[in-house]
Amino acid sequence: MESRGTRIGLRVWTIGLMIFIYAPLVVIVLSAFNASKIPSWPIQDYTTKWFTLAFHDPAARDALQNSVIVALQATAIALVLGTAASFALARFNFFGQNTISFILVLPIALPGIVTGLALLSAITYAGITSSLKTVVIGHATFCVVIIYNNVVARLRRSSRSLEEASMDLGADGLRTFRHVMLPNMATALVAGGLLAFALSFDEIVVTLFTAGPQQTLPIWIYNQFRLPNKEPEVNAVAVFVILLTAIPVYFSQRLMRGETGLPTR
Amino acid sequence: MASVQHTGRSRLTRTSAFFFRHPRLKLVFALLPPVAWMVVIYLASLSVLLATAFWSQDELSGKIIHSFTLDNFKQIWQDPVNRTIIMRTLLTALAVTAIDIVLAFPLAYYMARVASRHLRALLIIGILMPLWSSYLIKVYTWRLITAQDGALNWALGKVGLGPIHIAYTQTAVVIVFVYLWLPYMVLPIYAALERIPNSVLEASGDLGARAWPTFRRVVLPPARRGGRLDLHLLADPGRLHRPRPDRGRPPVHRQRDLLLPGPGQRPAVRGGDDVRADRDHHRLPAAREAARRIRGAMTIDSTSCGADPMEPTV
Repeated sequence: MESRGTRIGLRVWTIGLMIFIYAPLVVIVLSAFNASKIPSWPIQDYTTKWFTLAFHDPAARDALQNSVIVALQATAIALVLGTAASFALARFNFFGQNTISFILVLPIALPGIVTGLALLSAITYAGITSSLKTVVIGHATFCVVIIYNNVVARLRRSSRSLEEASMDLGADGLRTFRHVMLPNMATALVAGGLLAFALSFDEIVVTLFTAGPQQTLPIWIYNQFRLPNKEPEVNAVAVFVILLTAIPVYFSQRLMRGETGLPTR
Repeated sequence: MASVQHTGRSRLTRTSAFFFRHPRLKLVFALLPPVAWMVVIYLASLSVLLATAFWSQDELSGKIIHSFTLDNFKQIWQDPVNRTIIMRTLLTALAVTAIDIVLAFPLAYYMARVASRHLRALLIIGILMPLWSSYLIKVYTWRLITAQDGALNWALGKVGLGPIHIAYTQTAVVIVFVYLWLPYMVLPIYAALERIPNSVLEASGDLGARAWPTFRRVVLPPARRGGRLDLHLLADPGRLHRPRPDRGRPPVHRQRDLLLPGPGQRPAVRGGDDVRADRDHHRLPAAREAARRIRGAMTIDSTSCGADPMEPTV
């Protein structure tokens, strides 16, 4: 239908925008290998020494360790709470169902600055000392909905009659859960867990408000911004964070192909 | 040993049998932990936040005084600095939205109507992936790009333009926001366009409408519905963070901390007493959160409607 000119125009436009979307990624990756300490473009010479430097930086290593600990704990809490919630909401009809799913979604629906400020007000009000624990609590709160979304999609998709058949064949509720429901939910759980991990790992806003003296990796990066001579090292860490976020997301997408809102065809 | 296992198992069996007979209890047990978490931690925190809005702060000690006052709201309204910030935020949001619509529409149109199936799938993934990569790093990278000796000026020099000095200006802020939000504009417009059946377009042509009337009367209305979602998201008031005047900082420099890391504007050490003061200085744009919001919205749509919003219904 579209004329030839229109098609070519649209194609050029699309190519231009895809370059716009991916150029920053190329820039950050190339910058991380820039041998010069001064970040001027074009890059003359390449090196991997910044990765070695970042790898041996004790502060960065601590931050990485903290980030992994926080992400793992938040994911674990979210897995338990999210699975329980999705089971209740997908397999039962009860009064207040919509309210509960609304409350679960709220931490994602509200801006992170609101979640962060709210948690900080509560922390101050209750006289709690901010630490990695408070970060875990904050992250777990918004990770629940990620698990919930994945698992509830799977449960709604899978027939309830399988569970009933299992019961009819004499398996009790526990066995049915272990041998029928769990294998069915397994990939949704893994996919949700990977997403929650990635989200928690690079979260900055809620972390800034809930963190104590310990840094997570995004906070470490953020704090380096005002130190110009740290730039090469930050570039290397940034590339590392991109990888550590992109890889779980990629696998999660593969596991949930087409089931949730993120389409893959 | 065997008997212990036996009693253990039978207790479990009995428990599960009990739950089988009382399904409502099963529901309560499944629902209690997540709901308790959300109420005790999240809703309670939001309530404290709401209450804090009506409390005041002691000027000297920084302690919060728990007595009702409307001063904070008066201050938002009366302080010209706050008004400047609100206006700038609104204008930035409007500019970013307008630019993103213009950029996104042809791309979405290309994806929905011109690209082959395979290319379309690739483009969707290509546009989705950046949504999941780190907000902080995306913004940081733009700092590198817009720097004086950065990639942008190098590229402009190659085509005989520039150099331009946009690092740490409002222009840079708009560019970065346009970048961050573009995927959110493309995907809903694409989804809306894809739902227009080819036959409708052909019918429009058969009835004598040329390209432009067809575009205006057939393509645009559904696309507009797709775009409306973005407008909500882009004009995100979350970027207005702090109702208190900035200390020792010109108002122009607010709301772009990530792009403006002036020396001495943030304490060098995080930790101890510094932390709270430090936090006061953090005003991060809430773009990332809206990112989460749309992710949420997209997945929620798909689960609650039972259909993938990206799947064509036709």
